[in-house]
Amino acid sequence: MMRAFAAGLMLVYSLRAQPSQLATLATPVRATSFVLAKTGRLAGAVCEDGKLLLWTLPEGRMLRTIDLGRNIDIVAMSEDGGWIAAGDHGGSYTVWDTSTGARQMHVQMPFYPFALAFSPDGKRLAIAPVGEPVEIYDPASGQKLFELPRTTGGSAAVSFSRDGGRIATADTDTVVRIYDARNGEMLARNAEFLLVPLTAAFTPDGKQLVTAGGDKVIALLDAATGNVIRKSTKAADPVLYMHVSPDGALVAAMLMHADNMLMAAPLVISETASGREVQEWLPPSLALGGGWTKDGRLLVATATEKALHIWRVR
Amino acid sequence: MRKQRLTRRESLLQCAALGSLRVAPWLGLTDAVSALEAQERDGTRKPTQWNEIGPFYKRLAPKNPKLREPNDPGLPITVRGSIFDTRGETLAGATIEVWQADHFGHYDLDGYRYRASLSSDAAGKYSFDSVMPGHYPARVCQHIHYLVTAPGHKPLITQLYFATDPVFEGDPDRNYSREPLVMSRELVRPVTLSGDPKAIHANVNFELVLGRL
Repeated sequence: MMRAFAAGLMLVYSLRAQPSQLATLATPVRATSFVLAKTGRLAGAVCEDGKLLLWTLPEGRMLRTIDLGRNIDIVAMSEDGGWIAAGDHGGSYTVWDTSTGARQMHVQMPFYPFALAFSPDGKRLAIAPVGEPVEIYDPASGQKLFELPRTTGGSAAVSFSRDGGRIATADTDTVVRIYDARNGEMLARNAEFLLVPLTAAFTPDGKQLVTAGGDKVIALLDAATGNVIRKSTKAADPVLYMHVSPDGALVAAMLMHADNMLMAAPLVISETASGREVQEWLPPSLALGGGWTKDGRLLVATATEKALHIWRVR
Repeated sequence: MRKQRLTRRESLLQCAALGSLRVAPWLGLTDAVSALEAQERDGTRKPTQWNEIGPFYKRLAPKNPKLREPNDPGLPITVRGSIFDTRGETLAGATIEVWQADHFGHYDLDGYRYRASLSSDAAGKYSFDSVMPGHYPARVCQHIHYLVTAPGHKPLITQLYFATDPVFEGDPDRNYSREPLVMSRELVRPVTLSGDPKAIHANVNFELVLGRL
């Protein structure tokens, strides 16, 4: 009984645990999005003036500024931090080499991006333009490799498995689809959501997929069949982003304030296997991005007028 | 051997030669075919401008065109229109899914308020009663989402905007691009007010054109 009581106390403490601020980095104007290398050694923020600032972590030393151009909608960083991809509102997609600031590849598409994602080895880039099929590129050569089948409305999120063998898309027709990443052949699907799924992430072994969105429920899917293994209880708001910890034990879900998606919403961390919530944190302002580092830290960034604040949540 | 596809003109001339198209004696065949081609061209329509689906689409909406309930806050609005294909022919039985924020700018994610799945009638027409949507905080303009599907046609995802939206300051021709998602002026529709001063009602016409597969 004492043990149960102690475990209860630990849970209450854990749920209330407040993140510590890892770094506060000066920005010339407000930052609007944040990217993080899985190494945890490189962080970037796109600011309102369209400039990407790159820093080393945890020192917070400014490495370089890259002018991405105006109207950037989405940025993504390769896991090793070597590449930055950005898509703007005019449908222009560019990859830069972060070590030199040089432009690596550029492609023009009809529409602006819903999602961008690098494969874990950085050898492929998935671009999901709004309303259009996901296209897979080799960022080194700039060549298009293939595209996924067209779905109504396009893909709200795209994600590679850790071994690079699978691609998952959370599609605006409310279906989650899993493809062979070599050729785009569809392997499995799940059509149980009523609202649009907004995020999908594989577990490290690639056997399961966590996905969630407007339904406010986190579903753990069998990645081979698309079947639901478990669904969480309903959250207060839709889930916008999810990241699985490197050991696969935890899922961090960033909620979206449905009545105003520009307002701060809670970050909820739960156990992958059981769905049990272990921590909840309401950031001081809208979370701009973040993720797990390879050594198991969870970093999330918020912004004030002239500073980027990086929080260590776990 | 690959069969060569006839042009429309060649097809019409062949029809005339084989008797399946007859031309009145006072019309010359070439002139009649030219006139018919011109008439067909005039009837063609451009597919409606696509617009993104947004994060709040929900499938299995009720087939009820009364989105507004008595005493719902907001300006009552009736939206009417027809569904066409690019040849200008009306499409009966098209599915028209609509969803919008309520008067306060809130979307119902848990239920189906202000959501409907409608069908165009035999004349290709549709209509629904709702309220003028409020301003969703993360968007610039008031809008109603559409997803229109019909067999043999490309699905159309678009949004209806209102010329009376304060964002346009009365001049949507000049100001429509204040909403970054509005890529075409044609999606901003005029609003007609009717009813008596104590019960004003807005009316909007929104025709939709689907491209063929």
